[in-house]
Amino acid sequence: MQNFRKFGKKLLYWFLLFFVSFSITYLVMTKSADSFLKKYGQERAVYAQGDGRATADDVHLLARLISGEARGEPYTGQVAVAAIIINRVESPKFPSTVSGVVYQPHAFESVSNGEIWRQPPSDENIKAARAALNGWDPTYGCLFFWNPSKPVSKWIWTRQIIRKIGNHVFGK
Amino acid sequence: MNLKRSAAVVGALVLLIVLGWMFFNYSNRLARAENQLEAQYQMAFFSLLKHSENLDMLLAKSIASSSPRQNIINLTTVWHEAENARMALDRLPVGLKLQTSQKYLAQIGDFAFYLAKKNASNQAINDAEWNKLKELRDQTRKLNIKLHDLIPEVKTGKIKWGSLDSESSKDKAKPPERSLGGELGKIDERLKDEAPTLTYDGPFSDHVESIKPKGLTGPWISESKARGIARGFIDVSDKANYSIKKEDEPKGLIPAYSYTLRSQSKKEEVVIDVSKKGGHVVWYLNPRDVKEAGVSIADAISKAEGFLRDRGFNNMIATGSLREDNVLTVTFVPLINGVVIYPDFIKVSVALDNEQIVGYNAQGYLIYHHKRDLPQPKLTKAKVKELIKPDLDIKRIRLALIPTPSRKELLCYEVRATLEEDEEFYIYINAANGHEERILKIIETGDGNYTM
Repeated sequence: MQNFRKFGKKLLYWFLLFFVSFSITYLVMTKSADSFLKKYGQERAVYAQGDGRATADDVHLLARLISGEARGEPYTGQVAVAAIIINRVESPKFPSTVSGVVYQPHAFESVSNGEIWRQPPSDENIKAARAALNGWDPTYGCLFFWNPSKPVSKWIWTRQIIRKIGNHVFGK
Repeated sequence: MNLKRSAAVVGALVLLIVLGWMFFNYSNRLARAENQLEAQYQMAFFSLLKHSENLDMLLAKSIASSSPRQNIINLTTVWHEAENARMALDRLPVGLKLQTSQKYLAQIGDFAFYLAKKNASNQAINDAEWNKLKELRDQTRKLNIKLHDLIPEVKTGKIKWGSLDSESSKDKAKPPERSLGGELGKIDERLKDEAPTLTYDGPFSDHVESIKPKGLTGPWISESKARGIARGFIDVSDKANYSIKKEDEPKGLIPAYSYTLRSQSKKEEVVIDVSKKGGHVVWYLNPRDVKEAGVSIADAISKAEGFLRDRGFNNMIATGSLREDNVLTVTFVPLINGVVIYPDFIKVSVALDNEQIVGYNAQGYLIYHHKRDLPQPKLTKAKVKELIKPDLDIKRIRLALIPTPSRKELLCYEVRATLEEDEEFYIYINAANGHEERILKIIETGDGNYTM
């Protein structure tokens, strides 16, 4: 009997431990599923948009992308990332709206991992977005940027590199 | 004792059920989300297919029709369908590498729209243009056949929506699966070799990508000279004490030296690019915090004008300004012999707390500025007035050189007019033939004007 009681206690203890850890995992996973759904919802919104060039209304979305992709980069690097988006909008090779370019499937890591919804953009991010919308382009017409210290596809290295700012390289 | 034992067993069972339910719930949610995404992708694929089929049919009709009037409708619908197909392609998760297909669809639309405009202005489509249209039709038909081949796999959900990254598949030993990305990638490769080059008057024409800067006058300069130019150009007090650091050089359209200049206190920082050829300042930015505004818009504009004059730009006039927070960005263009030269613009940002110039951008100027021999206008101002609708109240007429979508230049009369005193328009009348080339509406915000 004594043994059984001990065994019961042990069983209960292990189950509790399992229960707690599973709950935590569950919560985390649900959260990620939510952001997954949220992302999907955002993509739908893009479809309803008409075409048009980048306008002042796009400042906030641009600033968010800067916040997600170029946090901690020098100011010029932030302007450069926003300039890439604007160059893409004007290029025949990419969608023709800012939202279309930002939410294009697999285009930006910070959209895929939900980073751009996590925190509001800083004043500096907004300032950089405005500079790019006003035509400042430190990349001289580039369409791509990547961080050479992170794993990126081999294909991206076939692009012609125009310049390096902070941790990013910018290419055509 | 027995009671305790069964309590433990019941407790364990309850836990098991709860855990099972949670797991079921979670995987259910995930599966639903995945299915939703799959449905989106399938919708995009079938939408691409549908619009691409419509495109083929409309191109065929355009080629067969002998009525220019009918063709205006056909060709503008081609534009519409090509844009729809392009939007569908944007929504497929096939990575960013289907650039040729994207550009191909954008160009078909753009080119068809150009031809429709030509028809609308009673110009005939020439043989070379018909031939290009036929080539585009052939390519579109081939594209449709390829897309049709993929239908069974997409329909049954068997296809892998992989990206085009070959290295993304972890298991190298397995034979590569047929993925949509891979299949579309093949289509893209083929288009790269076969799609015709298109040069016409539209924003996506092939010649636009290869525009070279015309304004880089003067000899190549040394790096030490560029440093001096950078320091001399920026608008900061006490600039002799600014430290200067060389940054990575941009090698693009305008090869340049790049510097960061820092004040001793490190509070202010200016980033600047100076072109290697001619030593022109391409742009600079001073992202300091701008405090309470104390300067009027008019004063800020004249400060910016003075800044340009001091740096050798004597004939620039302000054409618009936009205030964002406490920074005013003013657009300047040259006024040469009474003609406003819109392509050669420079932007200057003024801080409204102390009139400091915190931004300068001459990329447009350096790309387009050159000595031009402008034709004499064939129309008189009086004739232009007759061409404007009587409802409009004309405020000003002047000559202006405007850029077309394909970066050509047109000499026009710029007519500033209001409709019922509250809506303002800029109407551009071709100075050679009186055609209305473009109409812009002025959007007035409390913070400045811009045009749409």
